[in-house]
Amino acid sequence: MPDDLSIHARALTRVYKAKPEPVTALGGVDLDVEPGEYFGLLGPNGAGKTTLIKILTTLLLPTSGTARVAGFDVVTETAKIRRVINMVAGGEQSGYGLLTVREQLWMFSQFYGLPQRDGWRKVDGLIEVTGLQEQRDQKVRTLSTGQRQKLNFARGLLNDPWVLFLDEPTLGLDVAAARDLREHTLAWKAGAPGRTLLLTTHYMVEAEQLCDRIAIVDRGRILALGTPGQLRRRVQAESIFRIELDHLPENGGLDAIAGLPGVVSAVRTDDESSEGAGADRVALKVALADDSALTSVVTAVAERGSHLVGLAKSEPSLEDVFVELVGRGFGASDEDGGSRS
Amino acid sequence: MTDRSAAVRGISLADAWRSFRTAIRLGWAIEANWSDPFLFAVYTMAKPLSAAMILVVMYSIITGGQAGKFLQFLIVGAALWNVVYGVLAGLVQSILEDRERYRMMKYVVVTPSSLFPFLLGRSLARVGVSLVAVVLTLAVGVLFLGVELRLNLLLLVPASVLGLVAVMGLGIFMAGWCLQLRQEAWSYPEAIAGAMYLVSGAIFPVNVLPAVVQPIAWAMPTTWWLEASRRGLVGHGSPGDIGALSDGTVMLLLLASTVVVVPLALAAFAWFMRAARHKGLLDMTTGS
Repeated sequence: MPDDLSIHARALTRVYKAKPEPVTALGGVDLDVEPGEYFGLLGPNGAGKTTLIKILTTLLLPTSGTARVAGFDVVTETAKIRRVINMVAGGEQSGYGLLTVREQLWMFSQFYGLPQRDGWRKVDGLIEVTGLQEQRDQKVRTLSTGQRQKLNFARGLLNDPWVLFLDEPTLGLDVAAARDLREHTLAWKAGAPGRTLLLTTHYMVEAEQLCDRIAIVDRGRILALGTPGQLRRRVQAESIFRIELDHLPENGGLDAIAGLPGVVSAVRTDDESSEGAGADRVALKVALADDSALTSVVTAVAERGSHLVGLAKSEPSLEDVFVELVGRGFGASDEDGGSRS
Repeated sequence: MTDRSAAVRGISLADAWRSFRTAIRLGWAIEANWSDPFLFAVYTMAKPLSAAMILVVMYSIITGGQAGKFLQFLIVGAALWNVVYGVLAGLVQSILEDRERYRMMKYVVVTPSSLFPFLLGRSLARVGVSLVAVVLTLAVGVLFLGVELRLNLLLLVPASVLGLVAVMGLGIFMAGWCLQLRQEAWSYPEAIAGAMYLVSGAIFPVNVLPAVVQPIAWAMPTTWWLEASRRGLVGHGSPGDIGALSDGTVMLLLLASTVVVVPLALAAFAWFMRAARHKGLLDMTTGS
């Protein structure tokens, strides 16, 4: 049932009027996000991620299609949606610079309808959670980018939202501040069941670390959707292992391994790490139809007198998945694609 | 999710009141803290006084220093106009500052609080400052320029309340309109306020305006508010046809024009909000 979902979108389209021709930022997006799910939209600049968030947070009307958040329609039930969502955007210097951290948060607690005393209690709690105690009475204009984003994040949790939208939340942050923010996000999820997150990012690590499922988006369309593992398997059906041995197996060696059930291929691939480690040391690249075939490979190696020195699974990255799907890397965002986010 | 969804309510009057109250505090923090208190006080006093004094000097030169009833008409009109300008500028600045400078409008919009009470509250600090300007200008008029106060609170109070509601209506219309415009739009309301200044009988009696403009003047609630407030402050004596009308007629026309303008302004604001949502302007930074 669409009403049971945190987010439900069907054929969602957004076209901006522009010259010389209209620009399609979203081209018929279908999306379902379950309650309690952390969902990532991964894509380059201009993919349409922010446009989708704007529609779902009621800032923008879709050109066509339908979308529901927490069971409410984004076009006609905005007041109800706004009570159960919150949003944090990154990469900007927003904030009422003349207010202190505490004042700004309290002000928003009032916009969310918290009684005064509860508002102050909530504000102080979030200041502590986000590590802004030292800055609590500091004016917003004096905060660093990372501190501002922590403040922004604290504001995003004021109403204890059912669905939290994070739009490139770590954009422009240093490594430590970005890590802190990701940790806060995971801690928020652990705080109560059913909390849903929609994250847009073009950082692979962030998407992998935070999200249960990821949609790869480009030019306003969802190209692939699944768990990080499922997405990786789209570009690499087999499991690839790098096996390092003290010497080449006897009695048929590589051919014997390649002939084992479940083994797709086995090739010698001596590289820098195996060179110089020992005169006889070898590295093999073994492709398996399934991870379970690894046991028979290790057994066969041992039976043929070789000893396992190293074992590592070779995984494709999400960027590999993106390149496979789109035909270009994240760095080479297609400006001509015309998507506007 | 469905059970929880059923428990979610829309915006209540209490929500609107809480937002309004909080926005007043925000507006005051922004209005009063852009400079140190001394400079703020000097600016608050000097701006309206200098604007009024320019008019007085021009009038004195033209009339050869002959003070008269018209000087009183001029000073009271110029003083009261500070309120109109304060409301219009306050509302428009709120839109532009929150969207473009502080970049917080999108975060306010996605709260359950409506933007409407937020804007009203946010602009009220400016109205407060403009009331100081009214008092100061009138005080200078009384002390140095021969303005004679004949207070009629039974007329002044309801006229002020109705007038403020009407001017807020005009301001909210203009704020919605500015939502559609670029950052430089702050100057448009100033231009419109300037035009209204000329046609609302603030400094020129409506009878001396060109014939084509006079119907606009008669339709403006500001015209009736200024006349009712003048009578409440200094009694009768406005030049032209308007001076001959009874107090009841002036108040009735103020009420009628307000009743027409305010619902239209609210409907227009709702339409402008939807248009801004349609065009994606609520979080747009246009100051490039």
